[in-house]
Amino acid sequence: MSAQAFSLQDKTILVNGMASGLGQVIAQACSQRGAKVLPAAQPRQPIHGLVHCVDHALECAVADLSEAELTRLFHSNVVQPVMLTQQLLQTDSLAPNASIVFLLSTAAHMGAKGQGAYAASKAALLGMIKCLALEQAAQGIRVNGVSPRADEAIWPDVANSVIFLLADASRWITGTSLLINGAGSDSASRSQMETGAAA
Amino acid sequence: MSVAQDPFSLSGKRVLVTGASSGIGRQIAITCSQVGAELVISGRNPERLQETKAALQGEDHLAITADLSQQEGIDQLVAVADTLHGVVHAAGISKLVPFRLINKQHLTDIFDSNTFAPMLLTRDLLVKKRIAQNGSILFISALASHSGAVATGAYAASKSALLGAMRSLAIETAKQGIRANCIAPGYVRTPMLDGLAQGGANMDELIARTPLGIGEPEDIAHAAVFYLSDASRCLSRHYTFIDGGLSIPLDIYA
Ligand SMILES: NC(=O)c1ccc[n+]([C@@H]2O[C@H](COP(=O)([O-])OP(=O)(O)OC[C@H]3O[C@@H](n4cnc5c(N)ncnc54)[C@H](OP(=O)(O)O)[C@@H]3O)[C@@H](O)[C@H]2O)c1
Repeated sequence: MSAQAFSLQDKTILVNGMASGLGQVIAQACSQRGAKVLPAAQPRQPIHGLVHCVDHALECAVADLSEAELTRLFHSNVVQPVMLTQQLLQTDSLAPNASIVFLLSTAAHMGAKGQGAYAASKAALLGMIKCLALEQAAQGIRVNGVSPRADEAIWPDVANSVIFLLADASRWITGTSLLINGAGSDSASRSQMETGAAA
Repeated sequence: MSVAQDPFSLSGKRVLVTGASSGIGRQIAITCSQVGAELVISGRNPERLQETKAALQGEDHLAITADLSQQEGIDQLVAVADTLHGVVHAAGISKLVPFRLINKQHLTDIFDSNTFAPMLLTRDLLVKKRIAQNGSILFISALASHSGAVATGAYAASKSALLGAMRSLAIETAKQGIRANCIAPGYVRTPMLDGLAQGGANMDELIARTPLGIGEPEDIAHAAVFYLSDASRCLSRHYTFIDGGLSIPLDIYA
């Protein structure tokens, strides 16, 4: 009974951005746990899970940022996933109790030089997650995110957090984003943790 | 997928759950046993603790009656704990007391069970090297730590204290691969919630504010399994609300 709570058997999962590296890892992990994975919506196919894997990076000091770059980044990281979500809602393509997962980044939560545009685009999703979660709760639809650090080595772990958020095991979790910080497992993530201020 | 490879399985792991004689802790113990863990369970009431033990799947589980607000209780538990791969601090008490009626005794009672017990138990388990490499420690705080509802002064303080404790602990244990996290539930259907209703709180009205409705102990138990399992091995120092969305519109960022 409890093992079933972490299964994706009989669930159809739409992976938006499946062609990306992380998208592939997530799609494969979902199908290994029993899900039917789709790269795009299909008519009369209720969707139980929607995972957004679009993630465009931009390293640029705010002082040097061009309006065109900023607009392009917001379009790919925010407008595309949000409008796809809206389209699926408007066409009643999401099953009751469906789970929506956005891909954020540790940058949505913590500041860093050169990350202004990227961090803002990911933080925008945090606002979207909270409000959409409230709007869709009556339908039992949940909306969450994952916020991984930029490190390909943890992609399989990002996929496991996504699976948790898609599975029934997390049916009472909505409006949050799980920070996947590496847990100090390597020296880079450990030194990031250790900079914690004693003030 | 074989059970051994399943990152969400707890097979081969020994997990200590405090507060296992009731409510959330009881369900965490039961759910952990169902996904393969061997349990060490603890609580104060021996009859209800045995009821939990009888409900666990599989054999080889251990039940220890102990009051963790006393050092002797902690000593008893640590003595028999053996090697642990997971620890869940689910024991806790709550009592509604308006701020003007708080006294030292109330603060001591609440902090002894909610804050000092999990901190001192963790300390002793670490000192006695009872927690295995890559082990996972999970504290159960409460949404009250951030929402600070009316008459929860002592309770909210005792729960938000766990945030700082857990964050500092997680850094100190990272080198051994030991993770520490904290989950903060909203309103969950347990005997504790019944107690609050008897204490005069209008629970129906409060629960109606939860977007996904009242939580069940299973909802917290499944999150606990995630934080104990290898599926979360890259997650540490988390403080996560598990509340059916209750915190989303609250003014807790001021
Ligand atoms: N229910 C909720 O809505 C809710 C919301 C947020 C957070 N929480 C937290 O979740 C945890 C579990 O709550 P619950 O609702 O399951 O409460 P519960 O049903 O009242 O169970 C509390 C458990 O803690 C044990 N306990 C308390 N003080 C202890 C002590 N000094 N030494 C050893 N064991 C002690 C109790 O043992 P005995 O019964 O044997 O005495 C019992 O097993 C608590 O930390 C609580 O603050 C609950």
